[in-house]
Amino acid sequence: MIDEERRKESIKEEEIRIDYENIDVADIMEQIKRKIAKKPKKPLEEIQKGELRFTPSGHFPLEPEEVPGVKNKIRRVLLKVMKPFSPVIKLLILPVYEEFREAYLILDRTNRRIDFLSATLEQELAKLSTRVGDVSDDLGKTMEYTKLLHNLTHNIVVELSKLKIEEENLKLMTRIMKKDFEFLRRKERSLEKNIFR
Amino acid sequence: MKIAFVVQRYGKEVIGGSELSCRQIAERLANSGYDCTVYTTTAKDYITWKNEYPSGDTLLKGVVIKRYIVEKERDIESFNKFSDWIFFNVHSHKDELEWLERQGPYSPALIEALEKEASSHDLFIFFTYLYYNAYWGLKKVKGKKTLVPTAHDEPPLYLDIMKEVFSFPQAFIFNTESEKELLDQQFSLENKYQDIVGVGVEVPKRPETSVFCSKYGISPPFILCAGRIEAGKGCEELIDHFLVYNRKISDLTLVFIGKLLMDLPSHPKIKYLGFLSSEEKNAAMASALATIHPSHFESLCLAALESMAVQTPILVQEKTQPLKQHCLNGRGGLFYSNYEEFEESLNLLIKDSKLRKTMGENGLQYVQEFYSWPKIIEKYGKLFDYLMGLEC
Repeated sequence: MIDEERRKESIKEEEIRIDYENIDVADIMEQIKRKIAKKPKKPLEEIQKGELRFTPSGHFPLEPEEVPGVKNKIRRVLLKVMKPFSPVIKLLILPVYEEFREAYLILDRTNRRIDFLSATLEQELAKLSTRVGDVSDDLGKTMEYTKLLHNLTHNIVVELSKLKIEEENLKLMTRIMKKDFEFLRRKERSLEKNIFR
Repeated sequence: MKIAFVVQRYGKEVIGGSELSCRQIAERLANSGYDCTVYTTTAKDYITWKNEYPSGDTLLKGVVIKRYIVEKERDIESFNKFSDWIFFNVHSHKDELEWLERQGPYSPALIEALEKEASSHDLFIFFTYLYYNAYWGLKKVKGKKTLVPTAHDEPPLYLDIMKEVFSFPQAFIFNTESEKELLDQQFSLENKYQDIVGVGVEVPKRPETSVFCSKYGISPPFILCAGRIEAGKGCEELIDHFLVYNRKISDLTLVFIGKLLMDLPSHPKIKYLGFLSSEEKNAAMASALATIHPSHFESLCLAALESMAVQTPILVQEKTQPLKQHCLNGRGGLFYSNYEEFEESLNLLIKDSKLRKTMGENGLQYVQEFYSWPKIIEKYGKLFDYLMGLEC
């Protein structure tokens, strides 16, 4: 009882607070979501009690409701007439009644099971969707990382190509300089020859 | 400056976010002194692409319209089956081209005309990435091209041919920030001109709310859903939510306006008023407690902006990022992703008149700041300056 009152109080406390001067929709929605999450869900038993006409004692309402007027009178007379045969009638009806009752109980149990399973399924789906969200986040990060790696590789290839070109240029320059030196040496020799002659 | 627009349908009677945006922008630019021509088809209905307008040239509000015949009507059932297959199975480039042809509007004459007349226009603006005319038009036209994709997160966006569609234009105009983010992730749009523009919204002078209610016999309070009424726009889900809500709060009415494309349940608190004039639409929006926008796929949602312009808060589907952005940036509405949130948000909007009033004012301010026509035209002017400076 006290718990129930506390719960009601906490729901009252969960009134949505709004700063009208500076409305923050994200904050309002956050409060709404929190309020929904705090709301007690109807227990399964309560829902079933409300929906089923079946009483816990196992008594099935086979007795017809009282109908006023002529019909009621006729019914009463018929019941009086049939009263001596009632043990026989009950004996005849009992197996059907029992079977009916049993079927009803099975159906009730099955319904409870379905409700339980669907609630579990819902929870599992929620978990699964969180997991999928996490995985997709990871995937996003991995994609980003791959993109960076791709860029890095691309840059390395570009730099290496530049270096290769540079190397080729340097080789060429070395070859030219070698030839120049060769020419100068020859020139030097010929000059020397001329001088010493 | 000569500007050519390319869009799948065009006309006064054509309803549809992208087509309407194209018409409004073309008319406004024509009004600002630009020489505007629209290349389109003779179709009026986007499901069948049935030829309904006469082909040839016409003039509407200063805009020259060139309409071309659609050669194949769309068989929506077989198209949907083919789409289901192509979206979730390994397929070839040829299959994707076949999908595009089936998607339509299949009008080779339109593409031929675009190719022939490309040189007589300074630049081309294509509306909607999704259709036959966008792919082939962008591919065939040589020159300065802009695409207004009006895209949202949907399976066709992930087809390989879309990479081509998004590689052709030199500039992109997005409707919202979330659309830009989505497309930036999916395609490499670096080094291309990008701007978030959207469309302009006219802020009407005080709509006559009492006249509207008495004319249509609607007793407040009511919530309004405006636009195409079909399951694809989330209306079925909205009706389901409303029917559950109605068991708890029975004096609220759900009013639909726009084109009816699905069966509505016969319920005393669900009303359909038909297709209304823009004045009546504004009055309906202004009289409503809130307008609901249940669609899971929107790239801008003009109806939401129109509602904000008449100071009515919006209640939108959270999964639709552009709509959620309107709520968060405009501070003019709430959103929901399931029944419980729908109920709580609606309850809050119904009970808290101060919140409604403040959100209404915020919404109007948001529309005036970001979606007023002078701002939109200015942004298009910047785009034209950029494109004219390019060498093609």
